[in-house]
Amino acid sequence: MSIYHDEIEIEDMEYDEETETYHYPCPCGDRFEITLEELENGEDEAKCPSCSLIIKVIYDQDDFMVGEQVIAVKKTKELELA
Amino acid sequence: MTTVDERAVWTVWAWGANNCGQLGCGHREDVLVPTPLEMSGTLVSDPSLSHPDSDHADFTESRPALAVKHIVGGGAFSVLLTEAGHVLTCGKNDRGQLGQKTATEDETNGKTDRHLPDRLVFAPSLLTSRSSLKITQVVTGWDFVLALADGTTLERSFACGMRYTNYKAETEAIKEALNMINNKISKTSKVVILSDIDTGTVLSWGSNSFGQLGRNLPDGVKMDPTPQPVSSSSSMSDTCKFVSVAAGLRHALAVSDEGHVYSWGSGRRGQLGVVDLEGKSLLSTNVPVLVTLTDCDKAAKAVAGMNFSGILTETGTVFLWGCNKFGQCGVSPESEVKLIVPTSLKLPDEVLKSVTQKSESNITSLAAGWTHMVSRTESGTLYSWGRADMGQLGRNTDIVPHHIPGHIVNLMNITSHCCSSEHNLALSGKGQVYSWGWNEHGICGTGDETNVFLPQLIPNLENKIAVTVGCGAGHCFCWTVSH
Repeated sequence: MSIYHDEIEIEDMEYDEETETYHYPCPCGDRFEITLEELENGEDEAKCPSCSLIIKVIYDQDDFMVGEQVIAVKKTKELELA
Repeated sequence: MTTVDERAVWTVWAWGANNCGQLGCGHREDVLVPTPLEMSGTLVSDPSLSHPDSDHADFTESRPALAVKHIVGGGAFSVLLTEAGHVLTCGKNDRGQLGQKTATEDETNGKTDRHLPDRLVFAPSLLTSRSSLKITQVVTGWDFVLALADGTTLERSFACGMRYTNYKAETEAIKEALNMINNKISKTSKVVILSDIDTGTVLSWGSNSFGQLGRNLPDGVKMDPTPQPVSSSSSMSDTCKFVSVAAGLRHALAVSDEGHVYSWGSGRRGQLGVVDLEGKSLLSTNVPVLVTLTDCDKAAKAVAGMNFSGILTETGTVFLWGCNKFGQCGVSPESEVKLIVPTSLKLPDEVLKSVTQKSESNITSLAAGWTHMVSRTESGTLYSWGRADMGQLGRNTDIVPHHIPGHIVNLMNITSHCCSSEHNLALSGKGQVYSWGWNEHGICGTGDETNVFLPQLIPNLENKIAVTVGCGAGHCFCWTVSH
């Protein structure tokens, strides 16, 4: 038996811009969560803060590498300004 | 007219996951065994409302007017419908799914923060808008609600200061008329007025992220806490009335009195049941669309799982479509992971051969979990199919999904049943409550958290007579009577 309750494509998850978190319904009533930062780091397990269930997030890490590069560029600019 | 035993004690019991106060018991701790709920401030605040008027000739039910008809729930919220047609809600309200504005909603400018405890409504409370409309059926998706209105307003309002209001009351003349009605109501409890809502109208409120409110709202409108009618579709007749509604995680279904089925919301797994000329399924719609049903008699009831849909026809045939990853549509997942066209379900030959009377195989009700299904036959027998890894099927099967409906052998004379996300409740003719399936958070009410693979009596309710059972995703309710 798989350790994952389900495998969910990133397109099926909802994104909360405020907390930079992707989430998906958990059968217990809470939500499976994975942050943008975790995705950028290549992690693929979304956990529910209320229970033991875990889902595997199916996504292309390259899609999230772009975001990292933008942040990197921004940081360089900030350094230049400083 | 039957009389109500005034000494009877009516109790709502709640148990299971409670991270947002969805049990309505005033705290946020999980509850591992069924625990009586105090319906504070609303249901029992006025003793005269707990029992019908002795001179009320229309009252033929043996239950009080404020008896619990249905209790349903989505993700961390609950909706309770009374026999009289009042709707009460509690739990999470981040998408307006409670149909009411909490005190802090305006202060936070509608920003969502699920960790803000004052955005949670702990005790069941009346919907603050449209509270006068009589509701006959409620169903819940993950974070939205559908309700069937019967076209009249409630015969009487609650004692806690609720008054009839009308959202279209824009002119002074209408306001004056409503005031007159309100004054009249405060003097008598027998007034029934027609509302601006027709009989058989579907109202929706809560999240609209996937168009699941079916109201043709502009892009960017992601939620609405105000109950409003679902849009009509060009394929609906002018006199179209709805008789049954169902809600999946992010999609919805409604059956008209003509037996037509409409769907809206997300269709990424084929759950809308609509296919274009090129054979591709409709992926999303924010207005109701007609489901393509061929070789099908009139639909009577709709059912919706997480990402799949179904109907029961007037002659007892079941059609299922959408996600079939665990065989929940009655087809082997190895041959089809999703069914984009409604497909009829048949009980297997070996089951039909063992049946001695037609009532043992004639399906009269359907309930859907997230990825499993339970059907009930006329004689009170249950059949289950779909995902099985947590005991969802109640057949003591292995953890492999079963797409073929199988008999739950140790349950008989079941009068009603419901499915939560991964567990189930069944009520017997003697008023006994059985549970099985996933049991984390104590969802099965057994006092522990070990999954239940065979239906078992809930210990705390063994000496009670249950009348109604209901589930949310991960939490449960039961309504009992004792003398």
